[in-house]
Amino acid sequence: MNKLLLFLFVLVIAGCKEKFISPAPAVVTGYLVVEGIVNNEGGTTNIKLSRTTSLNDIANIQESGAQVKLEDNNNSFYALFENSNGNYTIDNLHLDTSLTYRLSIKTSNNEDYLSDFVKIKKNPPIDSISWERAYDGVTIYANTHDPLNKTLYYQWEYDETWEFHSRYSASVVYVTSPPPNSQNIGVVEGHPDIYKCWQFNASGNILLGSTAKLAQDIVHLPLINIPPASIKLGVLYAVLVKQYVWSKEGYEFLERMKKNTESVGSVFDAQPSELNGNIHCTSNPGQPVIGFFNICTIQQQRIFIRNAELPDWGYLIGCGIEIEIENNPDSIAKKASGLLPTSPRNTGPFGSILTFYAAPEECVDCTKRGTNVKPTYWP
Amino acid sequence: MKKYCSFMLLLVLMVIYHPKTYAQNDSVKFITADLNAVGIDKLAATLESQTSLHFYYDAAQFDSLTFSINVKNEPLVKVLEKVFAKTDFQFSIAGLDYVFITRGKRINTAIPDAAIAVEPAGGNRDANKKRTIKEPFVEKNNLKVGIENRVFEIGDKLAPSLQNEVILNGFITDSKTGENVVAANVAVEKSTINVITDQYGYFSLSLPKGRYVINIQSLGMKDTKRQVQLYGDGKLNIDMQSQILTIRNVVISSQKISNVKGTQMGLQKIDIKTIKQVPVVFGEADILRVITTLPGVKTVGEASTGLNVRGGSTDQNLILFNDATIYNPSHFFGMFSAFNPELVKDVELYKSSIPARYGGRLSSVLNINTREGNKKKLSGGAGIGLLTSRINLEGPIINDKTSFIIGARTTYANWLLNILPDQYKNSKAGFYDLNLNLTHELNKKNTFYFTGYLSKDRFNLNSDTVYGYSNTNLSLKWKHIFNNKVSSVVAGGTDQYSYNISSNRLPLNAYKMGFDIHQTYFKAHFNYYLNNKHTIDFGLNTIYYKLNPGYFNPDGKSSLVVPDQLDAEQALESALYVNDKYNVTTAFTLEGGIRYSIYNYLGPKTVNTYAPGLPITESNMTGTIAYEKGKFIKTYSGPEYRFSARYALTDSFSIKASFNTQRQYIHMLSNTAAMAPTDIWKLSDPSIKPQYGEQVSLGLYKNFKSNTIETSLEVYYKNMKDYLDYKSGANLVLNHHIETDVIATKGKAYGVEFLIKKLTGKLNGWISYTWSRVLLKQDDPLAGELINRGNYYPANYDKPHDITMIGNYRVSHRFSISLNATYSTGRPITLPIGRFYFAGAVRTLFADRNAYRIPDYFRADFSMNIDGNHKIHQLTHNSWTIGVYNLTGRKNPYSVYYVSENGVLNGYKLSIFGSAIPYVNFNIRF
Repeated sequence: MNKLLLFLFVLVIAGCKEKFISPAPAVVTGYLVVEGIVNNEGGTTNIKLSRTTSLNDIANIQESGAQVKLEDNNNSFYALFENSNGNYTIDNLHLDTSLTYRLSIKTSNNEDYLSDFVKIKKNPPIDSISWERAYDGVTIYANTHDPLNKTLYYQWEYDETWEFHSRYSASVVYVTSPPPNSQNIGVVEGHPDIYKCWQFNASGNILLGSTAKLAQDIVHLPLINIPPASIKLGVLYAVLVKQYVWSKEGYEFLERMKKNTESVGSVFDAQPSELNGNIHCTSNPGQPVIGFFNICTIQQQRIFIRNAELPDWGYLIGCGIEIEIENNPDSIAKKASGLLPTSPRNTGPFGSILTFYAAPEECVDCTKRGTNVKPTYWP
Repeated sequence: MKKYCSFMLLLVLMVIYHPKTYAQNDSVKFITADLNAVGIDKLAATLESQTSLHFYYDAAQFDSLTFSINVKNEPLVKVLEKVFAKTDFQFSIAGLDYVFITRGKRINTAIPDAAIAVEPAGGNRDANKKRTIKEPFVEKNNLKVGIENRVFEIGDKLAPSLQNEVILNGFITDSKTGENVVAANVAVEKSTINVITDQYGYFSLSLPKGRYVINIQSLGMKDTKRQVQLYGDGKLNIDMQSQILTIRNVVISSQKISNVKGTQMGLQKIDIKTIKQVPVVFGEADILRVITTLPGVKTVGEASTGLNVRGGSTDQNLILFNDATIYNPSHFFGMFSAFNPELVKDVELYKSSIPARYGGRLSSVLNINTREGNKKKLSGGAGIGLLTSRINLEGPIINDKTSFIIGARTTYANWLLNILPDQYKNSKAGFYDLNLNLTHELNKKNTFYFTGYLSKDRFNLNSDTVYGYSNTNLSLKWKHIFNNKVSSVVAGGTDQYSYNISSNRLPLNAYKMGFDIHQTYFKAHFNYYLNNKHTIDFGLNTIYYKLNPGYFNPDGKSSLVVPDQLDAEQALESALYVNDKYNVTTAFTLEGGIRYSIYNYLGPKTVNTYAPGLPITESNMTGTIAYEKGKFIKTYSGPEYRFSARYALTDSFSIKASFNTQRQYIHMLSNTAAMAPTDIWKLSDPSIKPQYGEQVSLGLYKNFKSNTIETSLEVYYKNMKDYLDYKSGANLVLNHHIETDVIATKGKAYGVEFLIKKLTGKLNGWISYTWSRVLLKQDDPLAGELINRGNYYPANYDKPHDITMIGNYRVSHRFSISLNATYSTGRPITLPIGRFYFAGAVRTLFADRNAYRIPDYFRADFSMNIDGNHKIHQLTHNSWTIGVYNLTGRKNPYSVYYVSENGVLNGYKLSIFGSAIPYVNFNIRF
């Protein structure tokens, strides 16, 4: 009886999530958004400027043509230059840790922005990036420590790269008729570079960790979870983890942003709060600015995980079987639409190909899903 | 068989009760007479004229009693029997010459008969002027007509007395269970004098000497009346019969008149039968859910049983469960209330004129009264629902003196989590609650009550973090009646609430954290019935709070978590109050009360100090001061006024007004829209001031169709001060300087409430409509950041329009159907007004707090109650409740959120119950 009821119950419960059309899509905001960290002693510094847009816009609006300066409290400054639309950069900063610094921005429409003065935060090097395999797949951890117990507030970002292979390797290629027809009229032997490719993913969530409540400044926190049988670990996987450190206020700013935009949709969500950072619009003091100015050394480390280290990982490409096609324009036009040739089936005298195998494009051409340009750091 | 037995017993008793004394003197005298409403003298004269008898009686005893007879050639004894049948006069015929007519005690002309069960009312003249008239046992069953027509003589007629006003008091009890009948209306016919029995069924009336008819009405009881002749002070205990249609709980009549006649405004009372009729989700009869259908009461959403009464926040309600304060009245993330419906008798909600005896919260007092155990026989019940099972047992420990009632509920609701929104998947939840009530009636003047309550919840939302919370309450109460005019209730007890969270997914960070609050209280309440014009209440309350605002400890050996514990907080809240109800004229009543409350924040405690005149922020912290144990760190005090007035324009139409002020010294800290299990409480301290509220309200009350339809219209305006809201990104958990994260806001609330209610007849129910607003403002730059630039903004629970209909139709005694429907404006939310790209994702830009609303809310529910057969004497009584929650399957949004999907921000509405939910409940009673 109970079981039956339960079953009935599950049947009637439908999805509880529905699209919501905002009554406020057209509000114009255009507040300045400042993103990025000044990288002291760690290479290139990138500061990105953009604008907030209305809710149903799709494109991001970069803030181009601004003058961005890093000022110290001794009235000297470093100017950043715009190397691409909205991205302001400077290389190899070696700042004086005894000074405090602020960011000064003058936009092309003559708005002035200034951050508060901040101290340079020391960032301990990443001890290791480790991983563990469990029933829920592979979890990657950041491990770090500060023997002085002073760092306390951490943020990480990561860039993932993984190699993957097509289901079928191709040893034949199409021969195409000259334009304007450009029809596939036959296949010949060939070795296209479409078997081995790479995909990329960057962190889209704000990853935070604090040791403020711990006796020692030791971090062992999960950053990434790769579910079982994921393509990421099908061949070889690499992840570059970047570690930033923050002041308490900066950390709280990121925490607020995370709460506002990531942990939503539950019954006990906290109310959204305003995002007041340490950057202010001096020419129009009431105008909100989004961003928190911070200086630290960016620490980074990359690790690789091989499929061979994960017995029975279980990644499978779901792909249709190969079909046999006669090597003539008619049957190619008729049967091979959306397919790519993989290998010869029957060969005639003098090595001529009479029939060949073909499979769906995405099972043969890995560039449909990634790039076949090998990253420089790939082994 | 049993029924037959008691019928036999009844017959036997009747025989004993009416011994036929005339049998020994079988005088056969035949009478013919036709008299209409004549006095005793005329009657006697008529009879004497037709016989040789002489009648002896005391004419004064008969007062204005009249007799009517119409007989033809009937024997004298028959005639006399007829004449006195409905009175308590007895007659004896001695020899052939004399007839003695006496009151109560028959003059025994033969051998004394020991079987007379009636206590003499007029006999014992030298002892005391007070008499107790005990109702003859037989009348408990079906001689209602007899007892209602009988004139009870109270006091000594012949005793010389100068007093004009006499006092009549007594208890009203349920003849079946022996339980006191609370809030029964005791009204004197042809006057506006009426009183309501207190929570012990006690009433006291002050009347000029004379003859009266007293009408007694109560919920679920048959109306009854008593005729009294008052000569002096006395006592009249009255048994009422419950409406035994189903077993206990059918409402046929209610306090029909009290709505118009009482001075209380904004008082809503619901009995458990009504509560059980209202369809609710999963069929769990839920007190708090039903309360939310009343005008002026709102809740944030379906997953919240937190009440918002007249623009008050959820922590501004004093929830008393038999005098014990319940801090978290909910189970299961707030989806169900933590009160076992099988033990609850009724619920009272005070939302405007809060009696002076209650204090400490701004908005309302919710008084939940449980039943007393059956004093006569062991009985019980059990129920099986989709979500919980419950069992209760009650019975006498010492017959008619001591009784117990015990109830327990537990859940097997894990499966429910799987059908909730995604984030609850793979979660587990369990809860239970236990109640034990003992009542001991030492004698009619002293009664003791013990209540024990325990509720516990434990759940994990994502399989690694376990949440738990629990309420524990113990209370002991002593009701003492000093005399006719003065009675008292003294109560004491402890209340405790705690929650804890633990997580051990990451060994280095494994932790346990928690919060708890204990309070010990003492209350003494006196009721002094001075005279017909004045009833005075006075007393004192004191509460000692001890709060552990939070601890955070390592869990497991490898955890690096540093134990962190906030200092415990102590405080003493005391109040003295006096209240006078003054009946100026029969139509005009005034009630005035004052409550003076004093709050002491006590050491030991280290308190942060802040630079005066600057905002309370971390940067303005100047240091700390350590106070020793018992030291007064900060004292707040002030008077609270409670005034109300009633003017009756007609018998069924009255106008009432009230003004009251409240102080609240304890605050709930919650950063979520719903009442969450992790909300903590905070005592007022040097930096956080007590909340203050004042309310003025005006109401019109009109009853129709001989008081079976009640209507009321109330308007109110309310001001609140130092109501806590939070700074953006406030951290409420384990914060060593919580005062820097909160802001004191001002609030105003106003509204109109309309209620039409019919609680009798086949079709019953109510319709309530409320229009109300509640707006908050933070415009003091010194207090911290301005919210919405210092303008008024709507509170989370500001839902201007709210209409609810609760309907029940009794098709037969065994089958009834219920339908309820509710509509309200969507609650305010903070919506994003823009988007930006940051840290690898598109993010939302939020602006003004609560500037938008979620879509309006509508829901209809349906249920059928099917009772088994109504034979009184069977082993068990069964009933089924079958229903559908959210009949229309409307997906009422609970919240709205935005997520970034492929670079595009998509908004989603989340609803708790996204479809119609059928349920079935089976109950058994034995």
